[in-house]
Amino acid sequence: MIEEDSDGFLFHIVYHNGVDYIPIHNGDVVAADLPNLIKRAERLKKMGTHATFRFKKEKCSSEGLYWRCYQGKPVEVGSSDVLLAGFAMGRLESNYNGFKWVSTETFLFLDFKEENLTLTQSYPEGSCRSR
Amino acid sequence: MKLLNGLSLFLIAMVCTLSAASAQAGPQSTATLMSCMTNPPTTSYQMLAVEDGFELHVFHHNGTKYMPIHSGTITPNDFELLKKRADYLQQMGSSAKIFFKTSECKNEGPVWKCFSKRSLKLRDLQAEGVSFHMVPRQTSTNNYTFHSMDTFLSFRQKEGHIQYDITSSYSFDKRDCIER
Repeated sequence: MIEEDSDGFLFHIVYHNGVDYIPIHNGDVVAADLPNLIKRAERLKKMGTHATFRFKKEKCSSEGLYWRCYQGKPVEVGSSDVLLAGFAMGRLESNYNGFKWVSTETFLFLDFKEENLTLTQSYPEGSCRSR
Repeated sequence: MKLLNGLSLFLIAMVCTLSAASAQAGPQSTATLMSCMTNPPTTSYQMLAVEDGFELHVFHHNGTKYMPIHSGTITPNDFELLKKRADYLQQMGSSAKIFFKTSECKNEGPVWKCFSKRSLKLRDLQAEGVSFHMVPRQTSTNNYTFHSMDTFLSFRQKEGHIQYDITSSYSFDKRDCIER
């Protein structure tokens, strides 16, 4: 959720079902990935169920529904040591053996001192709206 | 004469050894019909024509620790399930051959669908049935279209009246799957 105020944009992330349901990875997984994914999960769970970042106005751009923001400073991130955040959205059209649908793909980029993480989440058409 | 007898015994022994090896390997493979191989090779599937049906050859080139156990979004809550799935699937080893009768498979070009209700054992992996199917997928963003081939190798489990599948799914670049 993106809110505008006099200082720029506030970007909220809410995990409605708790931190055990944070989408920590999207893609192929092999058994050898599990230890790293568990570490990643522990790191991300520290953000809590509601995290907020602030982006300056000049650090964001939008084309209709689709936003891109970078260098967001943490406002409320629980006990996480995240330093910066970025965010991007895009439209994706899929055709699965003749069955077609449209989705909005979101990318949350989180910079930590020693690593950068990207969290992707796919939303069905209609789930993302401009207010 | 002694030399000839020795040669005969050697040839008979060779024929017996090859026959035994052939029987252990199952149906004799005749021709590759389809192959999917990542580039560089990590996971490969090959469908071969054999007597009375088809044989799916599965290769995990870097060992079972690098076999696909999931494709899609995961949350911390999924770890327990993923660990169980990894432990189960890894029992098949880094290479396996799965036989399907002719009537259990159909294909359109390189896209195959096979299903068997017969129980099977692949090294230590046991299942009450097995299926392999492929689905072509096309995804487009603003300026790029990506073609892929999703593959699903599923092993049927039965616990009392409950049946469920444990699946190894992997999305290949479409160019990595070839009709032979």
